[in-house]
Amino acid sequence: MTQPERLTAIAPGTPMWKAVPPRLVGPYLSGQRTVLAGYVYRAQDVRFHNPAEAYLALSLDWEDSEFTPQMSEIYLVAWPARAIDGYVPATGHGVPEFYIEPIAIPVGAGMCRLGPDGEQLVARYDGLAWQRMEP
Amino acid sequence: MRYRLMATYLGVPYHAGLGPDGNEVTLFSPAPPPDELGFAATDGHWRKQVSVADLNALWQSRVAGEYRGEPCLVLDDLGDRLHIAYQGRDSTRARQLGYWEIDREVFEVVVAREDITGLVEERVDYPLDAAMFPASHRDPVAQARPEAAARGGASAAERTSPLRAVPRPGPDRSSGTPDRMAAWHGSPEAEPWPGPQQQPGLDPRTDPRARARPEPWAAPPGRRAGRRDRVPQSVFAELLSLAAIPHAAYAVDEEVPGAMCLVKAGGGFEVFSRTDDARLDVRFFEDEEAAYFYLFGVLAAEAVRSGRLRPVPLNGHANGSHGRRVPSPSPAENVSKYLRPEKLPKSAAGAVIVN
Repeated sequence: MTQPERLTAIAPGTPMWKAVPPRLVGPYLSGQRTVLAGYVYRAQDVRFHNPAEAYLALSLDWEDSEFTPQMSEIYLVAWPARAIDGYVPATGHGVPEFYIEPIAIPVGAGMCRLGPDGEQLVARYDGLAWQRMEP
Repeated sequence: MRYRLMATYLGVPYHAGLGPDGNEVTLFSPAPPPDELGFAATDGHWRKQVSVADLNALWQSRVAGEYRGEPCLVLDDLGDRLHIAYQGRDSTRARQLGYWEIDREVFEVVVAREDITGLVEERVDYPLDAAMFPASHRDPVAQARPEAAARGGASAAERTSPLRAVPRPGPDRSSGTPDRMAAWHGSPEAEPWPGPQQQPGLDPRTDPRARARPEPWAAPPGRRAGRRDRVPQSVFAELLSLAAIPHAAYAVDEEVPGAMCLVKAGGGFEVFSRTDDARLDVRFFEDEEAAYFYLFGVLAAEAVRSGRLRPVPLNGHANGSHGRRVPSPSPAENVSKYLRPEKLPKSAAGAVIVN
């Protein structure tokens, strides 16, 4: 059983993951959406290599979720944690989860596309906009 | 009025973003700060990376209010509408209030400005050391996938580390923050991103829920311009010719005394009036197209003042006399054509808003 005190310890710099709901991918990449909010995960706590595994690992099966286990791709944001982000631990889904109120997307955050063959970085946040990576 | 991180640097507040590395913050300015501060012009903004420790203050600028009697946070100001986030943790109540659950237990909606009461701007200060972590000089994506580099060797590292994957000319970007930023700044101008895919089963044409409630990501039309094709020098020359501006009045890529000159300089372009021994009225443009049109504007203004360039009515006659016939389309139409984006972005106005 996971100890609460362990859950609260997100060391600054810890790599984090967040799955982006399909309808928000466009608003993120077009610059309309500039905050991260909701449930996030430490990279060290979750393992996935394709969308079906991510669906389970990142608890994407909440009621009214757009995600499905059959999705061909899932977009994820990766960034390093900072103390000011305000990660609130939660324990509902087997692996440590953290909830954050809206925070500004950090400079250098990556947007990854997870497909059947793994993830690929598709864009990098420069602080004002996502800069698309060349294939 | 938008939710954003702010930082005071040398006594001046800036829009800020934490990163890219753990002890860094990137400052943004929509207008050019004094040259001595060393901001660099990129993508229409000026930016500078500094150490978090060098800041005077770091804070969150946010606007809070109430929507239907419950606290909300304003994420974005869309003019007559506000994009708000629910500030409670009662999912049932949030739905009752009309919020969308855009992500698990994340409730947001775009509503009319007049529906929000008690708007107040808040400043939430952060201690600087809470915004830092030891500089890693590593990419957060690669760090999120520590096994990838070890498992797949160079190819896996390249796939997971964009810093090595950006095939742009320039210095080695394998490590070190300045190079990393150079890689980002050197990235190609972003193409318009496709809008979000319509949720299956929620067709705004048929689903009353989709019509009834605005989506939280709805943005005002035209907030972001799409990519524009560059104005080649030949097109510029054509415009000047149509405006009856002589070649001797300007020079491109060289400095000619007595002419208006446009030359490349320090990551952008400079436009100035050249005398025998000095540059006058030097203007710097990061964007080549902007530099060309500034030059065109200066030359056209001079041509108007001198009488060489005069309005031509639709009948081709100027001032009631038989003026010089101009080619069709008119010069003005040509300018508009080149100013108009070739490819319009799939803006939120058309593709996303369902209300």
